[in-house]
Amino acid sequence: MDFHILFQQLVNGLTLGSVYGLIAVGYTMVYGIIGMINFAHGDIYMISAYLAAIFMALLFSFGLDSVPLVIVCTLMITMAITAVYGWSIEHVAYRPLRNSTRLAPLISAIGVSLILQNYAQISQGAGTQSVPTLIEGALRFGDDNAFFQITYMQMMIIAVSAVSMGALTFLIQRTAYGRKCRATQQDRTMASILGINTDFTISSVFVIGAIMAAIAGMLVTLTYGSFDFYVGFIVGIKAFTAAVLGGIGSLPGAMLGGLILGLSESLFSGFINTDYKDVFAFSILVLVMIFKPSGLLGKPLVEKV
Amino acid sequence: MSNLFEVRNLDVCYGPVQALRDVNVEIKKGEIVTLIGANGAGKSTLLMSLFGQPKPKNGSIRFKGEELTRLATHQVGNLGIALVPEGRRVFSSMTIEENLMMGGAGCTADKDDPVLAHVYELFPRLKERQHQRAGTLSGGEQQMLAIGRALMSRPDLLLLDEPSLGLAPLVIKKIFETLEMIAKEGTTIFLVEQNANYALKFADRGYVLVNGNIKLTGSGDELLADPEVRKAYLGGH
Repeated sequence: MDFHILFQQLVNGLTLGSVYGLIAVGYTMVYGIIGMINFAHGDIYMISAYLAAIFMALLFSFGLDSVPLVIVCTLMITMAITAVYGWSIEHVAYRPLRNSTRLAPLISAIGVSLILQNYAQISQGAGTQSVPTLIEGALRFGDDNAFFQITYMQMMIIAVSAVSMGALTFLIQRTAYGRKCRATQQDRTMASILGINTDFTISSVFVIGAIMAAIAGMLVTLTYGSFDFYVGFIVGIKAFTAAVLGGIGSLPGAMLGGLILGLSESLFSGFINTDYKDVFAFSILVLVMIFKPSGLLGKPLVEKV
Repeated sequence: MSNLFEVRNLDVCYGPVQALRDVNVEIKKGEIVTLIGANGAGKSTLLMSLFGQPKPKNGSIRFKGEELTRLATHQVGNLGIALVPEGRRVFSSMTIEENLMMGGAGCTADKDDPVLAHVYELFPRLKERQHQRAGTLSGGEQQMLAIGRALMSRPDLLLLDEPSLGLAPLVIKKIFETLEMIAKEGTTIFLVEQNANYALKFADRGYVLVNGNIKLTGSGDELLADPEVRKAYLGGH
């Protein structure tokens, strides 16, 4: 067995999995709090990729030439504007449907997804966009014949994802805001009787999801350098799969699901076949759904009467 | 003395079904008032309509002079009214302590809150299990938790919806003993109960709700002695 390939694919899988996890958080939190699949979430990610490219170019053209500064500024701006997208979409497309049938916001979400795709296509063109690589270089392990490497960009993805996930977990598990979210998730009426503005809490969850997607969008754009108006679809489906795999509604589940999906995809492409990596990824989903329908970390709710 | 809480000519409907008809209730500061009635009489509907769940069709609900029917649910929750709801509705996947902290004003109570210590004093059982999930508690303990959560905001008016429901007689006795202690501290209590015996002995005054309408009102002792009440709710003859 070629260990350098194994290690290389583990590194690649970890990177990919971190990205899936970041996006899956948006699916799982929104599902947790209002029981709806936000099908437009992948397109939020796509929008953030465009925003990142645009603001990076703008900042450079304003004469900012420090790469770390540009990256940090772009990340902040992208997160802020994507958050506004998340907030607005919830207000316009989902909130008016809060008390209608479960299917209505789902259909509305598909509508939003189409609108965002077409909006990006019309305003930015249908072609593939590209951004220059800002951070090059890698750490290499092994000799010239058998080596594996971690690029600095991959390191950044893994580090930023880990920090974001850690911060989010702390926010949800340890703060008053997090308790409000969890209470709203479990019993919205009771939460509002206790004085929680549940509408605000729900909006804030969309904002958090959008911010996490923006972080992913920015990092991936910097790493791979190219994207188009359609990238949100497949990434969205993968992240959604990760969320379901880990147990939708569960925050650690989304992270775990993302990592499993990313690792299995990269190991499968490294050792078996690249063309069928998606088939393998979705097969895992099917198997988990058959044997543990609530996902790996999802818990079926048991209520004591 | 003006009323702390006042319901005037309240009509509440669920779609075409009228659940409450021309209901009038008033409570003065420091009073313990009970509302008794059979299953489906509209007792819980009255309590939930204070919070706009559902919104009343006609009539007014005033608390400390504020008209509640115009407010959103969470605004009512921040005025100093706390509800111990039917079925307890504790947050089962959160710990006891987290549940209690949710009850604090603005839901931002922390671990050093003096009210938290006071609630633990009233319910030592909750302190023993503070880091356990609420879902692992027995029914009686969950009821204590729901009462403790409501007390966390130091409410001016404590609403209780059938705290005895589904509990063993010994547990019910214990819960009512604690409620006595809470009442002695000066909290105004509005208790909705099917268990008329306990409720009328506990309360200063009572209302009897029949099919969405107040049929009878009087002091606890008067109602306990009333032949109709005895026949309908106390199993007497």
